[in-house]
Amino acid sequence: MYRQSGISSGFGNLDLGKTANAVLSRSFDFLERVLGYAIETSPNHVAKAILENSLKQLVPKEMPPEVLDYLSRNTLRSIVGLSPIEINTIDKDAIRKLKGSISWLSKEKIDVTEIIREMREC
Amino acid sequence: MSVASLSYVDTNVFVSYALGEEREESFEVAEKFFGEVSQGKYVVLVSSFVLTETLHTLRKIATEQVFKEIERRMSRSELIEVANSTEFKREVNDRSLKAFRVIIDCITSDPDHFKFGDLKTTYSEEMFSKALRTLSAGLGEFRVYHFRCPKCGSDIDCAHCGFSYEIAYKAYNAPDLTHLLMASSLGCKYLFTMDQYFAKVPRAESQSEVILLSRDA
Repeated sequence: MYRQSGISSGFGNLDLGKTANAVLSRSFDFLERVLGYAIETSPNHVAKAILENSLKQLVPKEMPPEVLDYLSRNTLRSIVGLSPIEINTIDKDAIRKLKGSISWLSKEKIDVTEIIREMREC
Repeated sequence: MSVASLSYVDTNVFVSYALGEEREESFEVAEKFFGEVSQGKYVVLVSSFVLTETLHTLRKIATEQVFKEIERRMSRSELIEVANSTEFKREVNDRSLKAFRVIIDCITSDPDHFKFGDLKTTYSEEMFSKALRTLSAGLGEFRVYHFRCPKCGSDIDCAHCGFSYEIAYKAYNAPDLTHLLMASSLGCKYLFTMDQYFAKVPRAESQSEVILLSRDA
């Protein structure tokens, strides 16, 4: 059987967990500094409470929508083997770039709506 | 300042826009819609379901194109050999995947205009039960079509039975209803499509309003 190349090739070295770790690494670096300061200046139980409270803010279920959206975007990119993008990447010209971007795929006029209609009816 | 409405965009709108003016019959309809997205009237929600259909559509288009590029007439056994060859499969896969990557690269680079379904979103059996209720409530249409050659598009007549036409059942169905109910679950105010059959889906079971994009609109 022919084994297709390309799709999922990015999964081998970039999965959702790794992407999430990359996103959160800065937050955890910050958390580590907070914990270090708490241990130096507070009793152990206070330092532990500070750590637990901070972790609650960082677990995935607490991630803000923009971070979840960022994870979704990078997960999509990894599925097709594209490199990850930074969380603050905004290409304001993307809509214009998308227009006619794959016109080379066919050499003649196509009725895409009809093709998809036939697909859905199969 | 008005707030952009979160809008689910059907696969046909996406692919039409990406194929462009010279390749897609209804391109200008899709272009007008994306122009409004660009102006901040709508924010496009891209579901994984739409992207799955997009990839499949690109593979079908690539297959048709590679098939049409075969210049000499071939017997069935020769065509089977071509279809099973690694070269043919690689050609279709490489072209469709390259096109898909271009689309993914564009839409993932613009979080202001394109949002994605939350990876934690789950869909219940109740959603599909709604789809079944909607589909059970009505019957579609029957249309008569001329047989058509898949390679050159010419009308053809069957030399064996003498028939030249077929009766086909045309209606919205499971994928359409799934799109609509997903749009509703994902909090979209509108669902934009260019498919007239899709646009006939009753809204009763969905919070999202179906908007048919057409030249006449």
